[in-house]
Amino acid sequence: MPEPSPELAFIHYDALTPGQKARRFARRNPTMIAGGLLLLLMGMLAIGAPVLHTVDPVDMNPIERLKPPGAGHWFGTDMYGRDSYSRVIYGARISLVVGLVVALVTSVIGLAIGLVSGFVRRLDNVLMRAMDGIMALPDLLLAISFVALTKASVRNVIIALVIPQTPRVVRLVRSIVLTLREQPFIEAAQAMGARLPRLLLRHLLPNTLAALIVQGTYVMASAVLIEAGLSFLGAGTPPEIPSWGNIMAEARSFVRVAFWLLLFPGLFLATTVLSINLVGDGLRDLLDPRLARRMR
Amino acid sequence: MLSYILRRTLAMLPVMGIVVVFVFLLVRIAPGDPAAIIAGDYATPDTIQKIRVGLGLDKPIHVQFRIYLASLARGDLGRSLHSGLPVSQLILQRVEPTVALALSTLAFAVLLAVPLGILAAWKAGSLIDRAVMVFAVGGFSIPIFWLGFLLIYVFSIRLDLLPVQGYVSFREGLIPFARHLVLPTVALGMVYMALLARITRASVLEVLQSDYIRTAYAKGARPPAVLFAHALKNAAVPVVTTIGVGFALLIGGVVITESVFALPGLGRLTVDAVLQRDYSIIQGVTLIFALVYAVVNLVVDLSYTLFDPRIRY
Repeated sequence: MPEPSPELAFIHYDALTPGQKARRFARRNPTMIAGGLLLLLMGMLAIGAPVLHTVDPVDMNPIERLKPPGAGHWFGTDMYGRDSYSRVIYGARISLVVGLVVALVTSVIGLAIGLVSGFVRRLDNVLMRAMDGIMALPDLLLAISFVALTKASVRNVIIALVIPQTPRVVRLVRSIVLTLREQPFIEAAQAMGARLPRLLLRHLLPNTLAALIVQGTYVMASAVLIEAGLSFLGAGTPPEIPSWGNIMAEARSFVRVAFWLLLFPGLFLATTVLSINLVGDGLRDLLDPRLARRMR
Repeated sequence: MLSYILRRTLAMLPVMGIVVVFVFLLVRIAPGDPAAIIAGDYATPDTIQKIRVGLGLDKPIHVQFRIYLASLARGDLGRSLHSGLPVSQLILQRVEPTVALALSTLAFAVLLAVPLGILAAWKAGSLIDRAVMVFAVGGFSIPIFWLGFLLIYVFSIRLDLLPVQGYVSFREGLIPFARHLVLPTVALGMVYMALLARITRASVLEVLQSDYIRTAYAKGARPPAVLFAHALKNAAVPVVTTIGVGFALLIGGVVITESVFALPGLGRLTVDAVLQRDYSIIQGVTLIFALVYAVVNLVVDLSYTLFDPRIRY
């Protein structure tokens, strides 16, 4: 494809064809595009895992124990002779599903509490003190205690991650609502007789969405990291499900003899988190440059 | 100042109160029966009932809460469900490696990240700036435990420069003590460093664009003087805030790092307690960590006056 000529920059943006717009966007946001493509690749691996795997990921084969990466087993095999490549691509499923679900649930709950807390003064104090209480506990510690108390399952891991992440979203939404509520258009809506649900849903909610989407990507990135951390410590996804944290937890006593068992799942994990962060940074710059200050 | 410290300490109380309630409920709403855990697999219902009465778990929940508060007030964190040892004693035994790791990580991260962030802001747009930003995004994405194993593999197994795992107390010699802490510190410090470098850069960059910096240049101050005498102090408040807020990252990371490097600290105590479902230890450690986090942020708030005399308490 030929590079657009320099004169093109002087043409009004609306006059550009969609293809030119897309290329200009890619040229100005290379890291975001790279992140998006990487994330898309991970998503395709996760969805395509049943087709892409070479050997059943839970199939044990004692003769093939601890084989280094090679033609038959691209990422080598583990101490039970299971194919590491097949296990790693299945691991993408757990990480991405947990990350996405936690980001969605946290955003919805955080949005609801944040809107109410920012606009209904009587509830604000109670809600915010509860959030302070949750924030006073480091997120990994909170998640680990929760999993310890319940049975290890993917659902419980998701709950354990939603609880510590929610206050961050609440605080963000609330801070936006607090500035919005002083603005004339809210006063106008009130003067016209809009009731509370309408005020919240029609007037306040749309104005928080940009920030919420950006925060959602960061929540997803930390959810993916913490899920892996929990599984690595043995307090996360049940050990029979191949997740990146579980694979690395099993491999930890084989650092010396089979380092590949730790290398590949970690590489995939780091790449996934990096790509989510890149997309998040890109979205933040794109949606609202002023937002950058509000986000920690 | 003193009245501010008092007020801030009092303001900490409601939050700590919520934490205490939360930690108390943690055990009571748990599906597993602590009495059954202590009794072991072959206990008769009779024995379990006796233990339950012994722990006070047969009483109504508000009575239990009163008892719990009273013992907390005496500094009694209860006893381990498994070993029967006092939780406070177990915590004290494990404090040293954790404090050593946390302090060395704090020093490592702050001493490297702050100069890096300042340099990046000073040379904004340059190659150094880009490198620091790439590092900041990358460092934030690398899982601590993976980085830990990479370091172990390269520096301990391949190059044989540093010990693989374990902890040596500083009382047994400073050099072995330091050698055992190097890799855990780097692994744990990376995230914290990335966060701090990013905030420092943003903060210094913002100050450098302000009017009074232009004035300083206009009256003929040399660039280094502008940076060191005028800009840095005003850029400090957000950085110090982040040191405090980021301390939560450090606490969460300590749990993982101690597990990777087999350090016998509070993090290992927590993980072992989680795996054994020893609720009283989980309760105790959670409370202690929450308290430390609160105190760190109190100190951070108080330090603002050092950097910005406009902030008065």
